[in-house]
Amino acid sequence: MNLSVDIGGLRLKNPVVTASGTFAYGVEYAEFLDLNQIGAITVKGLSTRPSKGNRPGRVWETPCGMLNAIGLQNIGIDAFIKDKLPELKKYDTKIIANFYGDTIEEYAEAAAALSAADGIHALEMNISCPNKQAGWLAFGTDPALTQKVVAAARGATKLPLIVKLSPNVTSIADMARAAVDGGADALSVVNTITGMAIDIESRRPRLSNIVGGLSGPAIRPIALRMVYEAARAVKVPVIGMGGIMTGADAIEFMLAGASAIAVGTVNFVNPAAAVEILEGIKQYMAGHSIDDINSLVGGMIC
Amino acid sequence: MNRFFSADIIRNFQSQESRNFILEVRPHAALGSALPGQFFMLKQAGAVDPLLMRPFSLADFIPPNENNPNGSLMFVIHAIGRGTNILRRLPKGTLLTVIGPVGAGFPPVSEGETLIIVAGGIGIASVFGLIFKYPGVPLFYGVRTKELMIDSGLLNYPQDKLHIASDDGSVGDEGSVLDLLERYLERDGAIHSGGRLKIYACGPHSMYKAMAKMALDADVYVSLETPMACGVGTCLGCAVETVGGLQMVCKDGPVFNLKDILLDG
Repeated sequence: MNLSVDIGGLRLKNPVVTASGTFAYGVEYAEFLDLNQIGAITVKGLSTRPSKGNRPGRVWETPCGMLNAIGLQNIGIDAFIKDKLPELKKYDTKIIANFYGDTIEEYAEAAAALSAADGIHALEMNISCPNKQAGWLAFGTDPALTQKVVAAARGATKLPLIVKLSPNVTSIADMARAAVDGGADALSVVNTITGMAIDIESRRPRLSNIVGGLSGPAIRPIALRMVYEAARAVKVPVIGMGGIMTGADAIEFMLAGASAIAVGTVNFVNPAAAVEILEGIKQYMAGHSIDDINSLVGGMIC
Repeated sequence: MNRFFSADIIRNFQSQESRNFILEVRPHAALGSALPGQFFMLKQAGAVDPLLMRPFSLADFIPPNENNPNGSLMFVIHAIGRGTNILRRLPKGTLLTVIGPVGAGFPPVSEGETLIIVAGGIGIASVFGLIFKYPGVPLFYGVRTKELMIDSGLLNYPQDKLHIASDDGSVGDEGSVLDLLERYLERDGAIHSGGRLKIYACGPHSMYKAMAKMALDADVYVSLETPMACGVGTCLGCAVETVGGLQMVCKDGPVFNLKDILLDG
């Protein structure tokens, strides 16, 4: 049974990736599952300087999902490289460093700093956090600006560059093409969907940021549709994500066109989920006599 | 010790008068020992409603016996939202997934120190561990009304150490339990003159605000509660503001020194 997939030059031993922001810096999960079994670990979004994130009122559960407005709290690239990476790189898995900047220059600076570190196998560029200000959101919603910021990061790294797209757009296909035109080797589809919730007793928003990102099974059909549309629009591989809870969900994303899948919110619900989902994928393949996982990609029959 | 395991409900005892219930679960793996104030994340295995686990303080651990080779965990819960109301209706035998013990509990009380426990409402759930570890210490317990009082576990408590108040006077003194505490400290202040006084509390935010204003000559530790997703310090969802910046209730707490937390907001 072949489970290995190629994501824009990043060779994974299996298609299960942990999603950024839901798996800390990886090492924190070593007590709950065998990190060696995961295809790749995407670490919490990093910036050149540490970031404190948003004020409390950061998470709220909604039907079959959750809203978050953490605000990209992170320890900063230097601290990650110094304090987390040496331990993380001992594991036999691929490390994808998710990063962001507040300006085009910062994106390039972050990409260069991460590329200089030993042990990072690919970069995932976050242009789609819903908890940032309006000006920043344009990186992930204005195709011309997307292409420009991706090109800046592209120029700063030789590592495989994955661009994580926002679902909060009219045409995910246009955004996918813009990222590829900017030099993306692969796409992550999708980030969280902007949402909100209000406490009707106090009339206050549940999140201090008022709006936040909705994740979990609530968004799965939307994410699946976007993976389908993005994968048809571009030739680069797509990592599909959005509410995957089981191996069956993962297979569905691959049939829609994903070459690999990422698991996010489910890590909070079940910290061993990534390996259980991998088992579910293997069981499906065995049960359907599928020898190569790649034969499932885009295999929906219409 | 594995902190992530499955368990099944062996007792789900409903109060007839209120939405309080006692949930006893049997872990399917050996546990690490839990300190008073630490908590566990619980959810029905495989369920997506609610999606996230829910944090509950451990009220008591019943040691292993022939029926329960890993012992059992007891939680005292007040059903207040969707998650707890679903949990309340789960029958005996329901499979749960559990993470725990997690968080930093109440600091140990050293020789020569005096402990006073304060519980407001369902806050009693997270001080039961203290009550069992330090039996007979003065306990101040405030409830809105008699029906909400959880007296199991307190039945044999020395009456002269138990100070109860209720908002409507239906049990104990009428008024705030903090008034009882204040009077007690004025009257019996001498009892702790020999050693440092520690006050460990769990109750609503408003109780902590009132305690902060009392200028207590004591080390006051309180247990906080916030919405949280992961329970293990990774989602960064349960942040609270402290004098030293943001801290996570699930990992840095839930027990904090009262003087360190910023209560407004």
